[in-house]
Amino acid sequence: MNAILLTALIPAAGGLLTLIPPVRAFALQLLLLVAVANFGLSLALTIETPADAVVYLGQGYFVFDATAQLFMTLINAVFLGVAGFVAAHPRPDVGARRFGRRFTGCTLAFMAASNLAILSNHLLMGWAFVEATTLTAIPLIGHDGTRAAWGAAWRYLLLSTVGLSLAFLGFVVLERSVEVSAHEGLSFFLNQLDVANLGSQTFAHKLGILLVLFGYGTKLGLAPMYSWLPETYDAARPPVTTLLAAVQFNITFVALFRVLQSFGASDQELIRAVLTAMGVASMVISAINIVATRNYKRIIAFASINHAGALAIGLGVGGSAIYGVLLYAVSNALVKAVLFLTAGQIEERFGTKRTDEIQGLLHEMPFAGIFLMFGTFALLGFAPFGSFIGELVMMGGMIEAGQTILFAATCLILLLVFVATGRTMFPMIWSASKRDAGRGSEPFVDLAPKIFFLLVLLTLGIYMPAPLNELLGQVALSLGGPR
Amino acid sequence: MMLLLVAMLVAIMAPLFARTWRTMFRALGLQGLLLAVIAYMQLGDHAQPGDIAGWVMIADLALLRGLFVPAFLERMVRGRTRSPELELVPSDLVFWGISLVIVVTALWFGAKIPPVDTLPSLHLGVALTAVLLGLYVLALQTRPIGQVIGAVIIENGVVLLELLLTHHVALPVELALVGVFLGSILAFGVLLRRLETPTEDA
Repeated sequence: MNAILLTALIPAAGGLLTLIPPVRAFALQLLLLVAVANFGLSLALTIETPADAVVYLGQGYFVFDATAQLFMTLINAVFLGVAGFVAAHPRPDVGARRFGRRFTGCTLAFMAASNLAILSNHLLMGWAFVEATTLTAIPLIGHDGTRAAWGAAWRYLLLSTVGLSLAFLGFVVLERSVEVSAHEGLSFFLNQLDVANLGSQTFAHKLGILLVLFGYGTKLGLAPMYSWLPETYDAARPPVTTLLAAVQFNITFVALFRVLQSFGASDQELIRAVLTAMGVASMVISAINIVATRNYKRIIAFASINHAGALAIGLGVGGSAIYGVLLYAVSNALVKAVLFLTAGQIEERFGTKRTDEIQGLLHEMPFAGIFLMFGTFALLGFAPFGSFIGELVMMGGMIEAGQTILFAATCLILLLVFVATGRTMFPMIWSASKRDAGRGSEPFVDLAPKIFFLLVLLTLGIYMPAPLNELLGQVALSLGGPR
Repeated sequence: MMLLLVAMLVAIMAPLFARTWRTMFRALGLQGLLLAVIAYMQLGDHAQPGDIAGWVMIADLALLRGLFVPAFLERMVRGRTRSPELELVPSDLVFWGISLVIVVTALWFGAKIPPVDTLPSLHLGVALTAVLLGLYVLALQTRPIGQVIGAVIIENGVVLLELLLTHHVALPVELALVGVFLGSILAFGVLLRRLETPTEDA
């Protein structure tokens, strides 16, 4: 058995083990064990495999290339952080114990599907695994059992399913266009796709590309079908939101990368136009909502839409911006993990999500205050975090590509987001506390995952290790970036 | 085949004019069974030795979409909804007119995309009708039961378009697609049961 596929098989086996009653009592320990094993394995595989190597597995249905190396390590790092947070955060009430069991089973199934989605060498297989992650997340989103939680789970399922159905429709239309023009089938295996030689630049072909981008855009929370995202991120518990924002977002991003790696060269103009339009629309809509919202979890959710928009614009610009897109995507996964996990602890302590009802965070929860502060700085693209460098490279790419209007518009929107987020979030941290609640307990085990994420974020901004730089360069190259 | 496609068009439009969710679920089942017959005839046209994926697809269409989906969704909803009545599209000449425009546009569009031949054009037109009407239903519906019907109509439209292809996907991919569809229906059903529970204000 190839060690690479173990990254999916270990969580899958762990998920099955949680069905056995005696094992359920140790569900959280099992979760942590699998997370440590998976992160260690994915890191070891990435270190030992050269960045330019391409390994095919499972009769060619799976591939371990630079894209898989980068994102598999990233999602398993987030998984480890989330598992550590949940395992260190046990509460005595029955609801929490039930959540732990359900969380373990569904999260392990979710991670198995996520790792397979990243490894997929077949566009339709990858699509199916992305949809599988959606299905495994449903019980987690609706766990609280309230009508609001189930309503959020419903909208998440409905819009994800419709979005992914449109993406699938796009693949079918693409296949049909090739059959009609070239009288042969379109292989959906990435290494066998030879789009340029099929000469199928018909209307149907363009429609297919459009539908695929629109479908995956919906799953990424891009406009116009973004409404599921803030509601779902708000309703789900913090570890679940972190998995959705930092893991599921990135596997969908990889699915989009696979489409760009296959069709990017032959349909460059169309892809760039669609991604840029969706990106700008998402940034505008999210900026307006960030200004209007007074719920800190929703602010972070809308900031996620904003970042998805920035990433789409970066992909649309192409060229040197691609490297920035990758760095920004990696950094954002970690930023969102820090912020959503911290937001959960703040909500637990204050019992509210309203920004105007929380003051003196640094006094009552000093560590949560510090994490929220640094997380917000990283979210807004401050130096010295990796997100700053990523944003800078993307902006540089826009100038280099002669997209000055786009550059100016992006700067303007980012400035608006900066002011609106700062105006709402910073008073929570620095203002004087109006209640005499004393300092809350913040054990180190709760803080450890977030310290880990922040250290990686700082490392990405201050010193980029050569192997990681090479890996990012290799992925950028596969997406049409400069050598 | 022409007759089957016309029957499929009628089965796609039927839920829009039906007045109870039971009838609509049965229309979804009918769509699944018709898809299975179309797939069976297509498999006969492009039969390849040992095409297990094709048979898996037929089983998916007949058993899963034709029988299981309507029965399961009906079981999940039974006793939970306040009323057996449901309007997917408001009983209004304007909304029915828009539905008709969508159908005509989809058929016209199907006729314009090459190859311009009666049967493939009708096939494409009917598939597009399902996708567009499904989206139209989703845009109008606020009730989960109506939304799930819209989503399944879209899914059936995508499968009908898939049947137009002469090259079928390999068995592992077909199994993954069937698994995902089954999972989606189970998730829809469970959530429908929770959300359609009459609330205090009912």
